[in-house]
Amino acid sequence: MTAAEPRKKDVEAVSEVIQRIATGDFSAKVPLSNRGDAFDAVAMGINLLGEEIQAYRIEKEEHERDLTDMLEGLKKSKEESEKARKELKESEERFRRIAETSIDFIFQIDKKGRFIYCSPSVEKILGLKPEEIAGTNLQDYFMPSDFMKAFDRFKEVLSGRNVGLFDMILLNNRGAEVQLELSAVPIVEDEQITGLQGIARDITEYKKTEMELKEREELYSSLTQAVMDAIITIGDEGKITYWNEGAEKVFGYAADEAVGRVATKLVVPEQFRAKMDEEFEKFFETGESPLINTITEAAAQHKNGNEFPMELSLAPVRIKGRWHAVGVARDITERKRSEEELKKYTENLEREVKERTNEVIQSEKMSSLGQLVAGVAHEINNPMAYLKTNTEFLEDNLKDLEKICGEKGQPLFEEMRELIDSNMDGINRVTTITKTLRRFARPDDKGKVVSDVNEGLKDTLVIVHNRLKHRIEVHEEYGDIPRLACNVGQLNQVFMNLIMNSSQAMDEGDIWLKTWNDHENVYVQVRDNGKGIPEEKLREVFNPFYTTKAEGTGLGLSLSYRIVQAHGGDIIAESEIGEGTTMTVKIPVEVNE
Amino acid sequence: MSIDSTDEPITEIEKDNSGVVHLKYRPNSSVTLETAVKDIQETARIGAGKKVPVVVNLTGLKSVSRDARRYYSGEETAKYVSAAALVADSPVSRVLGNFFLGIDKPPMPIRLFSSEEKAREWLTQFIE
Repeated sequence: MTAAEPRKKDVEAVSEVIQRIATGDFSAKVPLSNRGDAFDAVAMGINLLGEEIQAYRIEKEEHERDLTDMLEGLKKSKEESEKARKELKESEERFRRIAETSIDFIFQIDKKGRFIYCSPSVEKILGLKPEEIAGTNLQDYFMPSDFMKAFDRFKEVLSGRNVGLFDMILLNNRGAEVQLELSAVPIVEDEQITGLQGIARDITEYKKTEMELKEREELYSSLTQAVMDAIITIGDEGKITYWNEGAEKVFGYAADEAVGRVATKLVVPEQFRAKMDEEFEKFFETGESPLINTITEAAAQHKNGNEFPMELSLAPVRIKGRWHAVGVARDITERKRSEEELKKYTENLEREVKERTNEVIQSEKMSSLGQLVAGVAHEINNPMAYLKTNTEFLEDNLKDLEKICGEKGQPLFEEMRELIDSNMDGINRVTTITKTLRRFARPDDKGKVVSDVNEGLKDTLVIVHNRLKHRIEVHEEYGDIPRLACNVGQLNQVFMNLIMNSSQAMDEGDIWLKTWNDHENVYVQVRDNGKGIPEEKLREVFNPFYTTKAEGTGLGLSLSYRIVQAHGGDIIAESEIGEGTTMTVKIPVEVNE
Repeated sequence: MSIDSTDEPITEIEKDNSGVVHLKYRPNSSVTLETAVKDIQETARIGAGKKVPVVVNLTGLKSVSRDARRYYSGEETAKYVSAAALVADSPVSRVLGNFFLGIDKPPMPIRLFSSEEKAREWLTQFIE
């Protein structure tokens, strides 16, 4: 066997490996002889090819697996795509249904502002059907003045910025303004912004109502701030929620000091706080309280700590299901003071009226009495005149009869003469009394006449003579006083009151009457030595209705004082217990003869 | 005893004066991926950042693993080797060289020569 001829062993080895490779065992290798000959080269080639086939097969299997995985992936991707398409379709359907039924206006516009889509609700808002709007430009519906503002917003949206909610005003098919509130986002296709889509709500009515509410609120605010009364609202836990300028003035706290604080702690005096807190607690639970819907007078406390009377009215208001109280409070300090003054004034007036009425009655009584006395005196005067004439005639006749009868009838004539003298004395006395009565009463004197005050005093003594005789001794000391322009009838009444008061101050005693004058005044003094008047009571003797006598009216000295005052004068009262009382009438000299 | 099991390298690598790098394997060597990686790293070091033409003497090789062949014909090798001339002067080495040329198809210019001299001569055109 030559070197070039294959050996049987080598051929068998190659044959076995080829068979194994043919059955898929690519790991089979032909063992090299290490001779470096052709056999080794063939063996090396077979081994390398086996390796390559094995590698190819492995790679093929890997490729097949990859292909299978890829096909699975494609299948899955297709299913997912189908699912996504279905979901997208459903989503679009949902969106369409929402858009078709929404009361809001859903729209899409391209980058040039042309409407691509409008939901049917646009017809209610702008009065135009979606198909009428499609293709038109948003600019066609803007108020010219509002366009730039809205344009800027849309530009921001198209730049991808989130601008949130914003307002714009469009014009509807009748040219009326429609206020819209809208939000918009860009439409992105293939990573490019192709337009914007948004949703707009018609807020025209809302804005109108909001404006009306604002105006009303401003009006109420102005009203509440303009009123002088305090207007306060009290909410949860009795805390103040509103405090107008009036409240600032009434209570002294500024609004920012008062709001949020408990009302009762701020303005109710401590002694009334517990009761008020109780009332408020009841009110906030039930909405009812005796304080509600009535006007109550209550004590309030100012910031400076002073208490003052206030008039308070409370009304219930239900806000967010809870009771609040609206209170109107008024400082009635001035009113109370005025009422007090009015009350005093009324009382004084009533007293004055009573006094004057009694004085008038008294004066009328005196006037009537004066007229009566004057009338009676006049009626008495006439018969007294002829009684006197007749008595004088009888006296003359008696003298003639004595001459005729001589001594024979002397005893009889003597007795007759005594009777005639006695008659004359009585006649003269009656005449004097009637004259005095007429002078004393002076019913015809309506004003002041120049009169002799001494005469008036003497006439008064004549009148009161019977009340004094046997009990009181009168001492008279008349000065040379000037005649006065006066109402002598009224002055006589004064003198009579003073003399009678003195006489009534003692069972027995003395009364001193004295008149004098200086350059300005005439003085008439009535002094007694009676029991006297205590000092504290001396100040009250001229008050109306003050009397110490059971049957007295209390008007005598009061009336006398007023009469003297009416003459520009005064009555000075002096007294000492156990020593007596002195009343001095001072009357200015108006006319001095 | 296997050549690969020793720490001693199975490849001699050197650069001649003309700039050609020579790779020569010890007799009866089996080249694995690890050997291939080390060979290319050393070649890159010798080239100092430049691509170099390489003469690979296949004489005496017992085998070259498929991974090693793939590496020699891969992109990593092409970074540092401008051209390769395979020298095969035996039937076994020629089978290996042709297999490398036909099956592995490296991206750089490559030819099979029977002598180192011819191989070096061909490579001179690739010296940078």
